[in-house]
Amino acid sequence: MMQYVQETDSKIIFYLSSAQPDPFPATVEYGTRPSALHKYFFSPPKYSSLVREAWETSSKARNQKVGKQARTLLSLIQEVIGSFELSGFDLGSLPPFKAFEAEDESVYLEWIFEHARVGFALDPNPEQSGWFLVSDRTLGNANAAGLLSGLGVERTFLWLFNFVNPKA
Amino acid sequence: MNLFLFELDKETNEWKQSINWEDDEGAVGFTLARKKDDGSFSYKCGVARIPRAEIDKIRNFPQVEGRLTYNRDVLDDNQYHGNLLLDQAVTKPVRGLIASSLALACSCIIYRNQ
Repeated sequence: MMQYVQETDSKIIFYLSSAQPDPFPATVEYGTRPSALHKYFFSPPKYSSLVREAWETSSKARNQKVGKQARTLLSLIQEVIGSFELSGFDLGSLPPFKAFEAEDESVYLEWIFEHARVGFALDPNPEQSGWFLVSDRTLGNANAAGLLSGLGVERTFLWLFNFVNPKA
Repeated sequence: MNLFLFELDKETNEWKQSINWEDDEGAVGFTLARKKDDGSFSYKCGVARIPRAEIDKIRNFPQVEGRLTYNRDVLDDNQYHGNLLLDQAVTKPVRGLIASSLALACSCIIYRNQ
C-alpha cells in the first residue's frame, strides 16, 4: 500500500516513495502504526458509494476488456481514497464517479465537481487510455489531458485529486 | 459528459455532434417539439444551451488546436441544424476533455412543458 502525507494548510496530499524514511516515526505499543494501515484491515464504508454506480455500469459494458480496466481503476481509486480517510486526511465531501459507455465500446469515468470535471477515457488498447481535467473560471480555466501509460495511474490520480479536492 | 460525446461519421471520417443554432427565439421551442418517427419526443431530457464563445474557448485549448470546428447544415425540416465537428485523429482523452468541457460550459438546460 502506498503511503501519503497531507500538508496541513493547503490540504494537498503528497505521495511518499517507499525509499523515503517515514517522516513521522512512531513507537508502536498497541495496535498498528497509523502509517502502515493495510487496505484489507479496514473497509472504507464512507467511500464505497464513491465508485458503486460506475462499477455497476462498467460491469455491464459490452467490451468486458474495457469494463475490467474501468473496475481495476475504480478499485485503485477507492483504495487510495480509503487510505486517505484511514489516515485522517481532510477530504471534504466527494461526489460519486459516473461511468458511460461510448459508441466505440470505450468506457468513460467522470468525476463531476461544481467547478471542475475530471475523467478517464478507457480504450480496449490500454496504451490509448487516458485522463482529462477541465475547470471553469473559478478554478482558473484549466484544461489538460494525457495518457495513463506515462506517469502511472496512482500518481496521475493523486495529481488530479489534489486539483479538484474541495478541501485543498 | 455522455450527452456530449461525438459520434464517428463513417462517410466523412469525422467525429460529429448534431446541434441546433439558436438563431432566434423560436429555436428552443422548435427543438423541444421535435419528434421521432414513432411520435415520441426526440429530446425528452430537454435541450442544453451552450454559448458559442465557450465553444470557441474549447477550440483554442492547446490539445485541440482548432481541430474542433462547427458548421451550419440546414435540413429540409430543420432550418437551425448544424454540427460540431472534430478531426478523426483527436485522441480519446482529448475527446473526453472536449465532452466534459461542453458539459461544464452549459449555461442552462431547458425542459419541455409537460
